[in-house]
Amino acid sequence: MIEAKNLTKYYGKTKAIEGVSFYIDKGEIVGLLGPNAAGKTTIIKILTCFLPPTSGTAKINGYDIFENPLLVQKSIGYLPEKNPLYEEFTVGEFLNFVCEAKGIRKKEEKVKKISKVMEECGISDVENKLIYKLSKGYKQRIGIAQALINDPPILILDEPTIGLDPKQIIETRNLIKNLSGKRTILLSSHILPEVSMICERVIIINEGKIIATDTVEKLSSRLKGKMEIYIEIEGNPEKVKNVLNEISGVENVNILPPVKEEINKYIVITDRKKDLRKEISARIVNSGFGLLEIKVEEMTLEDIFLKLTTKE
Amino acid sequence: MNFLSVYRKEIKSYFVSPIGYIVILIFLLINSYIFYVLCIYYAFSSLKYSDYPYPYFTLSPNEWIVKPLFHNMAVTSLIVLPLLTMKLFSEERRLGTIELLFTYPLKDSDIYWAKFLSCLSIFLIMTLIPSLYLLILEKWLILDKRVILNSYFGLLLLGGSFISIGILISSLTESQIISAIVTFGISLIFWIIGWISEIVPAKYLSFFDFISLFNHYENFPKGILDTRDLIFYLSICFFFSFLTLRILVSKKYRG
Repeated sequence: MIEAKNLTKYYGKTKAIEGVSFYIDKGEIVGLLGPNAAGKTTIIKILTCFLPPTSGTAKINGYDIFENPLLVQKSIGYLPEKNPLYEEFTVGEFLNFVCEAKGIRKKEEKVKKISKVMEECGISDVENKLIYKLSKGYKQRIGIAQALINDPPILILDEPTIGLDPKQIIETRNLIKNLSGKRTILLSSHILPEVSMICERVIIINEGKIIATDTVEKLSSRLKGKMEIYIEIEGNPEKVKNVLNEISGVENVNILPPVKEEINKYIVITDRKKDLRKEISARIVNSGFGLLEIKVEEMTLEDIFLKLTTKE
Repeated sequence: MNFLSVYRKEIKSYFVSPIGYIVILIFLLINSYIFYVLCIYYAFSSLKYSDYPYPYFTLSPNEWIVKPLFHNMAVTSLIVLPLLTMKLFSEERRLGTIELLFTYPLKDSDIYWAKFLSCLSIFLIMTLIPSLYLLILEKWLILDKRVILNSYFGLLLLGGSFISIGILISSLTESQIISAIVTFGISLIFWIIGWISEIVPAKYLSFFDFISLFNHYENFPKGILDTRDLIFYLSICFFFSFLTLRILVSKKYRG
């Protein structure tokens, strides 16, 4: 459905993305995840034929972005990042224009599509209000409505919940979830819980390159092949570290800044297959140090993301 | 044609904000006043010379009313047209709606010509009203309708040239004010460039005369439709339209 082949984009001499390739199947909901300025919006702008890539190409719904841009644009509904709208129009007038611009010209068909999409997005009650007078949540829903109006098989949403309050975020997320099904959805975000909630698969990009692409579960279990044990111990840090390193199965020991004198926090990374907590606590107590706390740190998508996107 | 959707949107957006009304109102105020003054002046002169047969018969309403009115409309359009063209692309860029427009299944050229023609339509209606005043005079005077039609046609060509310059500038900046001022400046230069014909060497003279928008306008109110003038205005329109379309597809513009 969406196929990106080796996309590279330079803005002048600055590289925005390099060699980005991915494939999204029909009906999938995929999250494009990355810190700000990672190149998410650039990828999306290329897919919507707004910007041409410096090299590489993409196929959407079987059409090439260079050869058939109009057919590509016909098969996608796009919500830009800043959600620009013609705010001096009423909601009805705006949607009417979008309908016409997307090639729906028959009057009955327009009326039908507009009322359907307004119901779907919950904006029927503001049909005759001027857009600039509406709240941000409403505007976001209007933005989604304009993307949906011609019932495109592909939806591309650039940061759909940015700048909304928590209640509106939940509403928007539910709306997106309800839209899935037949549609293919590509959604960019830097908010991780959102992606793990909505998406089945994640493409993580950083500094213009794809660094991981997999389902949310697989991604976390892959990184969770390691287990992090968090320990607070009273005793000389160097000696403690030596003791910990002697235990078989321990791969790495990190010392965090001391809490009090002689009390330090440690993060021990071990293999996931074996729970070493019992052995560690026994060793520490036997070596004469004070064991104050020991627990397993659960890795969230947030940790994975940070791990992948920050250099050590 | 999807072009119509953008055209309707542009026309509508002129009248959802006060800008469309204000520009038309000011244009009409100035030109209606001028029309009134010209009529009064003509009536006085006719009265004055009524005892002298020779000058009386040379007092043609065409020379005294039609020609100055159309001249004046041309000067006022130079001032008001930048106000109509300034927002066409600047505002879309500033608000980011350009991203919507260019990701809908529309051709760049459709978008451009829709904007161009929407502005020209407003201009057409705006200049039509003072031209209709002349028809009122028919009750008392004999006017050559073909001259009026010709002048009106010339005015539209001139307006089209100003609009094509205005849209080009509008596509280059995100600020409407800058767009209006630069458009005004460039149109003015194109207008007055013929004036330096007295100081430049004779061999360059024809060039400056030729590229002056004003010199090509002079023939129309005289009732002359010269293909050179027609081709000149059309070339100006298409040249600037071509530049704008190149800018719209360029990578830099969208990045």
